[in-house]
Amino acid sequence: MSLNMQINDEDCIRYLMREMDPSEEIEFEREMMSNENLLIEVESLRSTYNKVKKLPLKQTPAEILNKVKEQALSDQQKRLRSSFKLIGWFGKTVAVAATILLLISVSVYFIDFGTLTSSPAQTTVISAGTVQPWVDRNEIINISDRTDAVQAQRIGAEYEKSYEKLIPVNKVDEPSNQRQGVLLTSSPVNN
Amino acid sequence: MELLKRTTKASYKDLRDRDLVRYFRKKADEAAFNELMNRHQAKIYSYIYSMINNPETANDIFQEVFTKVVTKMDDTYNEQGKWIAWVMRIAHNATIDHIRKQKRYIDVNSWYDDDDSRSDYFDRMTDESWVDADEQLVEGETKSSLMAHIAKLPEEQRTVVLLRHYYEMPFKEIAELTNVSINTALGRMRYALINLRKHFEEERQHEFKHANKR
Repeated sequence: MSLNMQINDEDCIRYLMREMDPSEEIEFEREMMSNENLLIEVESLRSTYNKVKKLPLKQTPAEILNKVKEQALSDQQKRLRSSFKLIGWFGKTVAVAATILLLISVSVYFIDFGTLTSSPAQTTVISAGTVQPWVDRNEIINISDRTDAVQAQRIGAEYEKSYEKLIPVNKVDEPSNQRQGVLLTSSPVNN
Repeated sequence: MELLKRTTKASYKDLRDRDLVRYFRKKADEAAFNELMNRHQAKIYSYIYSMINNPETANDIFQEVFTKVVTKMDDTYNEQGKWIAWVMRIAHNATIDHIRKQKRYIDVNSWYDDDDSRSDYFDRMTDESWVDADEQLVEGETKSSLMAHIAKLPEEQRTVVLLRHYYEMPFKEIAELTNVSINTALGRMRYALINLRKHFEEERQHEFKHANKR
């Protein structure tokens, strides 16, 4: 045996059954040429395997074959029929469920609509109890879209009144202490 | 769907197993199933028969296999794989189950000496153009002795030989099917051939002794 290829017992079978890569096959054949015992072993196995290859193919008895075909066909037809039934049953169930859901949605909508149109005051009272005026990012007080009209009017009036407390500035050129203070707050004061 | 409509009985022969299986599954297509059977029944039956060596039992197992095939086709058969390899797995498992249930090896001699089963076997063999009656007899004897020798092999070795012979199954698949490593499967094949070589040699010596006595 050469040092190039490590031959094991299974390699003979792999070679005989043509389960080797082409490169392995060439290497194995080279090995056989240099190793007489390996050659004898392989040829002996080949001769026996050639006898096995004559093992005849046996036909299924006709009556058995027909029975199998009939049985298979009827079984498959039954399976298909039952699956169709299942699909039909499932479809019907889905249709009924969808109808019920639709009816519920429609009735809920009409009940809500009826309540809103018949007693608006009641609705506003409910929302007025929970919602407060709020300040947005620009620091503007918002009332109208979160509370009831009466409350909003009251708060709005107070808000408008607050402007009356403001005193108009008559002398714009004259610097006031307050303004100086405001101007100086962002920088160090050097007196 | 269109393809299905356009498929005629004659063109079933050109279809792949995968397509035939699909037609059978979706439409319970009789012609598709017949074509599948025409292609593979002999190999499946031969494997079962060679493993069991009893015609009645082989018939029962063959029917059982196809009942399972139809029942399991929708659930366990993956269309990406070879249908015949999948069927073969079922056939192999059913055969091995039967052998294990019996808890005994086949009585080779009773099968070999049984004239009825032997004639029955060769009656249904695939046609071969045998030249004359003498050759036919010699051929028949060779094949029957081959069957007997294969039946003598241990179950594991016989399985590998038959799977390889009837299905040309790669050793990787044989190893997967029989839950062993590839090397074990290759080793079993090697021992099977070595054992068969011994049996053939014994037979030859036996015949030689008989010839000398005459």
